Amino acid sequence: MIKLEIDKKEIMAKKGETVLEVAQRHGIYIPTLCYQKDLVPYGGCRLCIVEVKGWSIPVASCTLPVEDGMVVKTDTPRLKKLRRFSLQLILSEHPHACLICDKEEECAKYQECIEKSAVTFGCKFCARNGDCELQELVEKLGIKEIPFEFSYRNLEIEKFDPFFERDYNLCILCGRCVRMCQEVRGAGILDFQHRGPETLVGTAYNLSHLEIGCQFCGACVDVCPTGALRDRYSKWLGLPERYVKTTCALCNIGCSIKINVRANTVVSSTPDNNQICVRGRFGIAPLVHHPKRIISPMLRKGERLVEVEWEEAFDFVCTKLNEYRAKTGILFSPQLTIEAINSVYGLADHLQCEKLATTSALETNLKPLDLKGFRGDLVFVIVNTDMISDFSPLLLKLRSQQKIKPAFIVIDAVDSKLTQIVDLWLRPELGKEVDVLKLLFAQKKMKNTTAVSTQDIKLGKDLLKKKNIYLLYNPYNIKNITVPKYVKKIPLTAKINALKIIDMGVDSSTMDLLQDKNIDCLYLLGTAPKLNRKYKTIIVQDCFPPQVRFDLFLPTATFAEVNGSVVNIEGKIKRIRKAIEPLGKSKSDDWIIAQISKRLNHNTKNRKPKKRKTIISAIAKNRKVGEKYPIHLIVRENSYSFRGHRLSDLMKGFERLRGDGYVRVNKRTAKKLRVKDGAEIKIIGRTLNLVMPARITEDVPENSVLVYYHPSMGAVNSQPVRVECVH
Amino acid sequence: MKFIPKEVIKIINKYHVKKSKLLAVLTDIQAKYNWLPPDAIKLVSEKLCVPLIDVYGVASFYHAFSLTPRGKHIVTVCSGTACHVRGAPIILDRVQDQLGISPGCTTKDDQFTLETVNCLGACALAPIVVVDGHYHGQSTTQKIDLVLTKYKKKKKRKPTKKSRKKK
Ligand code: SF4
Ligand code: SF4
Ligand code: SF4
Ligand code: FES
Ligand code: FES
Repeated sequence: MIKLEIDKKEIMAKKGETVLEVAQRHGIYIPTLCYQKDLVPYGGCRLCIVEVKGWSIPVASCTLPVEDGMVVKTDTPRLKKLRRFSLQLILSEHPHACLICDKEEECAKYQECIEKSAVTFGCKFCARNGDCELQELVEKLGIKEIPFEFSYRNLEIEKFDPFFERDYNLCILCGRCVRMCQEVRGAGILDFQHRGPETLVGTAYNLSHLEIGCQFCGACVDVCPTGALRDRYSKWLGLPERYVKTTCALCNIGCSIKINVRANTVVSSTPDNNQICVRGRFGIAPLVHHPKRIISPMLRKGERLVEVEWEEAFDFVCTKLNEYRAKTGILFSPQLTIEAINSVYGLADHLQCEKLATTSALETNLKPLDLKGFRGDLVFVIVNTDMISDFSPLLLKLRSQQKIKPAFIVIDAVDSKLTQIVDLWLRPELGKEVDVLKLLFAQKKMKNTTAVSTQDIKLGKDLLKKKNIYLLYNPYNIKNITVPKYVKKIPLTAKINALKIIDMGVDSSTMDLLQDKNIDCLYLLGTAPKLNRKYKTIIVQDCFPPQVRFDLFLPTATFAEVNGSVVNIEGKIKRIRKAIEPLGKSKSDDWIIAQISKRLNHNTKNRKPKKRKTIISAIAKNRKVGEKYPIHLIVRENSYSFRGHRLSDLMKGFERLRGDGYVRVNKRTAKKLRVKDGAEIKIIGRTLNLVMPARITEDVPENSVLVYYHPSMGAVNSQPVRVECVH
Repeated sequence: MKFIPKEVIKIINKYHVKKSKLLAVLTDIQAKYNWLPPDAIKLVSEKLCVPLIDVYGVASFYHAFSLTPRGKHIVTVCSGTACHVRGAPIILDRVQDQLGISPGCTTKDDQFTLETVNCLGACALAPIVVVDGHYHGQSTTQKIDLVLTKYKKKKKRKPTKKSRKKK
C-alpha cells in the first residue's frame, strides 16, 4: 500500500496505479480528454496535469504512477491557466464558433442568429451537440475566447461506410479510437498517420472501413469524445433520455447492453462496460423500428389480408387449434425468451402435439461454456468458424483474460477476418479439415493430402506442444470431428437459448417436420422455412412478414419491448428488460401464447412442460465432386439473423457488410463460369435448386461457392453442385 | 523500377522476418525503389504480421519514406531562413523552370523529384541545393544549371546503376 496526499486528503493507493485513477476513485475531479478507462494512458492532451510537491513543472496525472509520500495538488491557479491554454490550443484546430459565442444561450433557445457563423464551424449541426466532452470541458474550464487562428482541415466527411460516419475535421487526435481498435479489439484498422500539423487519424491509404476489414464493432465510435465518429442511424434522433440495461438476444453470447431510449423510440444500443459486436451495436434500433414490421394482427379473408383485432385473431387460432390439435406442427425460433419457449412447450403438451421443432442448429453434446476454466498455457484450434464475425466478444475474452497470451490456430478453407490476426492459419483443401486435425495430432508420420504444407503442419505441432488444447468449432459448419481425448472439444452454436432447447428436447428436426404428411396446421413462431407442400392453415407469429403464404399473422414484440430472460452460451440466465412499450398492437410472445392457452382452457402457469427426446436428423454423407457436379457448395450457419430473417435483408448496412443474400463465388471460378458480380446464378445439386445473386470474392477457395444458411433455402448442406448463369 | 515481390521478400528475410525490424525493412525497400509501393507495404504487413495501418502509419510518419513514386534523382532545395535570405527563392524558381515541375512532384520521365526542406543545418553554405545526397553550397543559378545538366546527361549514358551501388 502506498500513502499519498491529493488536495490535502490522505489517500491509500495500490502500487502501479496512476495519480489520476486514485483521484477519480476518491471523487477528486481532474479534467481529462485523451484518458480512457481500460486503455493504455497516452498523455497527449495535457489537461490532466497536476502539481507535485518538489517538482518544478506540472506533470500529466494519467501517466504518473503513485509514489509513497507524494503531495499532489490538482487545482491551482497555475494549473487552471495551463489547462485553459492547452484546451485553447486543441480548440484552435476544432470548429469552435458556438463554444465561445456570446449568443450561445439565445441561439440554443430561439436560434436567434444561426447565420452568425458557418454551419461547419459550430456545434449546432454536430450530432454530438449536448453530449460532447469538449463542450463540457469548455464550460468547466471557463473558456471564453480562443486567441489563436482557427485552422480548419477542410476534409471531406467520410460517409461511404455502413453504420458510422467520420468527420475528421472534428478530430482532436486524442487517439482513443486508435488505442481502442488496436489494444482492445485487436483489429488494427485505425492509426495516426503523417505527422506534425498534418497528423490525421484514419485507415491505410484512406481506404474505406469496408475494404480494410473493419469489424464495425463501434468501439471507436463509443470512445470518441467529439462528433468526429458518429453512429449513422441515431445521428438525428436526438439525445437519449434514459437507458435500460438488458441483454442482446441476437446471438448465443448474450452480451449485456444498454438500450438508449427517447420517448418510445430506441435510439441506439451501446455496450454496458464490455465489448459487443456490430449486431448488438448497430442492429437493434433499426430492427425494432424497421418499416417492414407488422404491428397489428392480420387475417386472410378470401384473398385479402385484413387487419383485425386481437379477439378475432384469437378466435381464429383457437378454432383451428381445436380442430387440428395433434395434427399441428409447431416450429419455433430459438430467439424467443425462455418464458415464451416454456409456454410454447406447454401449449404443445396441451395439444398433444408430437411435432415440435426449432430452427436452431443443435448438437446433443452442448455444454455450458466455462470461461473461467481456461487456464495456463492455452492454445485454441478453431475449425471452420469465423470467430470475429460470429463470436467476437467471446474471442476478445479468450484473449484478454489470460496471463499468458494464448495461441490461436485456424483451420479453414475459407478466408475471413479471423485468419489475418491468428498465429497460424492452415488452409486445407475443402473437406480436408478433419485430416488436418489428424495430422496435427498424429504421433507417427502420416501422408499429407490436405494441401497444407508440411512446414505449416510442423509449425502447428510446435504451437500445440505441452499446452492445454481446446478445439472450438461450430457444429453446423463441420461434422464428424475426432480428436484425441486430451483435446477439449467446445462446440459453439450461434443461436441463443440452444442450451435451454437441448435441455427441453425437440421432437424432430425442421426438415422432418416439414416432410411429415400428417400435419395439417403449421404454427410458425418466428421462422419462415421453405414449404414443400400446401397446408390447411398456417399461423405465423413474427415481427416481419414471412416468405410463406399465411392465414393469420400475430405480431410480436422484439426483445427490446418485452421482459423475460434468455440463457446464453455460458449457461447463464440473462435478463431481458423492456426498454419501450411494444409498438402498435404487437405483444410479447408469452402473452400471446398465454392468451391462446387460456382460451383453450389450458393453464400455462403451474404445469411444467414435459421433456422431449431430442432427435437430430442424420448427417448427409460427404460426397465427392464429380463430373456432373464439379463445384463444392459450402453452407455455413448464418448468425446474422433475427427470427429467421437475415439482418442483411432488413438493413442496408448489413447487406453491405455481409451480403448474406448473395452466394460467394471464387474469383477464378467465376471467370471460368463467366459469372459476373451481382448476376443471378443457379446452384443445382442432387436435391437442390437455388437461385441467388453472386458476389465474387477471393475468400472462398477455388471451385467452390459459399452460402449462409437461411430457412427459405430448404434442406441444404455442403455438397457438390453445378453452377449455371441465369440469362 | 518495377516492384518485384521476390526482392521484397528477400529484404524481409534478411531481417529474419522480425516485427521489430520494420523500420530497417522499410528503409531497404525505400533505398531499392526510391519509394514504398503499396504492394510492397502490403507484403511487409502480411509477412511481418503487422496490421497494414501500422506499416502505413510508420511510412507516412518519416520523411525518409515516400509513398508516391520518386524520380531517380532527388533535388532538394533548402528554403530555410538563411537560405531564403541568400536567394533560395530564385534558385528554386530556376530549378522549377529547368525541370518543369513544382516542389513535391516528379518529372514525367521519372528522372527528377523536386523537394524543399526547412534548413539542412548547414546554413553557412546557404543557399544549398542537394542532389542525390551531394551538397552544392553557395549555389547560384549558373551553378545549378551546370549541376542539373550533368545529371540529365548521366541518364543518357546510363551509368546510374553502378554509381548507385557504390553508395
Ligand atoms: S469499428 Fe471496431 S474494428 Fe472498426 S475501426 Fe472501430 S474499433 Fe476498429
Ligand atoms: S476520431 Fe475521436 S477518438 Fe479518434 S482521435 Fe479523433 S477525437 Fe479522438
Ligand atoms: S456478440 Fe451476440 S449477443 Fe453480443 S452484441 Fe453481438 S449479437 Fe449481441
Ligand atoms: S488525460 Fe492525461 S494527458 Fe490527456
Ligand atoms: S536555412 Fe538552408 S541550411 Fe539552414
